[in-house]
Amino acid sequence: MKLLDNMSLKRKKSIFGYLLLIPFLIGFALFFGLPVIQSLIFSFNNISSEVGKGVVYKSVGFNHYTRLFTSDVEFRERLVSNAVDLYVKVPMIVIYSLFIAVVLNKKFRGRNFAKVIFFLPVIITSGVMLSMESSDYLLHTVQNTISQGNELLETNNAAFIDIKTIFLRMQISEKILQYLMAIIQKFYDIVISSGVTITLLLAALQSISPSVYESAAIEGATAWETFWKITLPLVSPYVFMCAIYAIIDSFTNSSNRVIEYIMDTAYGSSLNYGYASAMTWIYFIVIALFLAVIGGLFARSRVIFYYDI
Amino acid sequence: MNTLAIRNEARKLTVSIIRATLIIGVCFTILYPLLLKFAICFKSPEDLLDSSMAFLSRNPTLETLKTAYKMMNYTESFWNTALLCTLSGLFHVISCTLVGYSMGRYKYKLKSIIFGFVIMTLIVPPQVISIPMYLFFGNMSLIDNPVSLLLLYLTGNSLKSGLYIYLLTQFFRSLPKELEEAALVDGAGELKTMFFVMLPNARLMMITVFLFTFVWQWTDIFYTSMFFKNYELLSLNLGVVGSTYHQYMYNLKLPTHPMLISQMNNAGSLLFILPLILIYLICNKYFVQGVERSGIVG
Repeated sequence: MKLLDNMSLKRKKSIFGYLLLIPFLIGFALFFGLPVIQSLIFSFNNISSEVGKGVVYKSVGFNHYTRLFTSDVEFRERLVSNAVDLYVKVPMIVIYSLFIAVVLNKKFRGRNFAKVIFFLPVIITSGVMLSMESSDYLLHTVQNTISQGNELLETNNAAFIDIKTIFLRMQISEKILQYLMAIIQKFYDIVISSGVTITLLLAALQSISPSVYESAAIEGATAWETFWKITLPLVSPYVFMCAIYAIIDSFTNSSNRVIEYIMDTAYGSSLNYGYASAMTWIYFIVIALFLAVIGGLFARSRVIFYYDI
Repeated sequence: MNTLAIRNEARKLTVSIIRATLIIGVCFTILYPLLLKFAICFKSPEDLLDSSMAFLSRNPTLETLKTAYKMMNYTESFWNTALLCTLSGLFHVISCTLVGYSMGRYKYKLKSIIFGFVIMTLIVPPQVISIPMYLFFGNMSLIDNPVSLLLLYLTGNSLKSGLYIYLLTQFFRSLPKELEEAALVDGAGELKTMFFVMLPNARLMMITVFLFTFVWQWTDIFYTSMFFKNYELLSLNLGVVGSTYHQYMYNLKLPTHPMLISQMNNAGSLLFILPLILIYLICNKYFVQGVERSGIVG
């Protein structure tokens, strides 16, 4: 007690701060730090469990990693397709969320209802629901029945060809066209992964003081100018946050193809823990690189008006 | 003057028509799978094979839902899940609030490192650590025991903990320093200040954390399937409702069909999601508020 009395208030406070962290730090060490180190060790070993001996390690050095980079075609293919998927999805999620947030920011009838619905995917398409939906046979069948009845949209593919010809007539280059088609195909994905980002941006928009808009209007700025010169710069930190959120969300999603492959290797027929650990490490490095590049780009281009996360 | 007014009106109308189209379209995209599930569940087997109907059915029946209810062992697994999710939520609120409060209100040297830890738990996919974690809890024979999962929640190292910790940290950082100083002047210690002055302000945020944990634990299949093998939980039972049904029919020597199994999946999903939708509709405010707060404070 005497010791406590002699300490400065500042010191006492920082000790109290540390005390509050104790449960988290214990958990972090036991349920995060330890497993992470263990999985690193796993990735250099072949793991098997034998009766009576428990878990047996057999060191293989960097073999798992060299195999990943040289002979495992499937892993590379999945990793690349995942990255490409991200390259289509993340910008679209951000742009779409910003667009919807701007629309929802205006007052109109049914606005609250729309807000409720836009946030609904966060609840109903998480975890097990997502896998139930993507693998379901009847949902697709009924969907086909509906589109058969509709003459305009005979099948999904025919509709795509229509859209494609329209874009081709507009003389859009093939690359942009492919990007657009990918967006159309992933539209549902984009919509259901934007619940949190829309809400975040909406809150950011509402925090902009109306007086800024008023003065812009008095100066004669059009709505278009106002958006680019006022709205966008003021919400730019949140746009950055949304981009990071979207990347993390899609990378750690269990419907992700790389994760599927990892889980299959670890728990499927082969039970190759060591190899799966090596994969997860490569995957983690890719995520970290992605985040670093995005962070670097945003920081370098100075599009963020105010940046303090 | 008159033409200007008319032009303005026309412009307003166009804007609202475009807006309505857009919003109704997107809302429909979101609700469509849910509506479809709803439509499928009430169909009798003959209606399922009848391609002249998509949404409606000639002989609506409750049989499928009843069978799904039975297949998922719904009553028992519902209560198990509800209890597990409630405890998870409570524990998570406690652990995340402690960390968030510490990082948001106190100054100490290692803060940036600890913040790095929190971010790390967010960006390392849980799959990376799933195997060692499984072995760890296996060694302590805590598999099939809710304690394993609750321990993760109690220490704030579980599903998306980093996100909640981040939200709470930002929230506590935004509270005015005067609150704390006033409490100090009045002679309150650190604990008293925390419990009676600061935490009541964070009531709404804590409800948000609770609700999100509840919902995401409810739908979670990753940790749940890792920690529970023979435990009646809704998400586990939903994952296998199709094959359970298949087995059941096989044992009764009754014929089955991929369509019926798929219908069972849909009915199961509907039963599974119904409590969550109810919670969401009632507590919608709290769900959104938590996310909004984080945005304002940023």
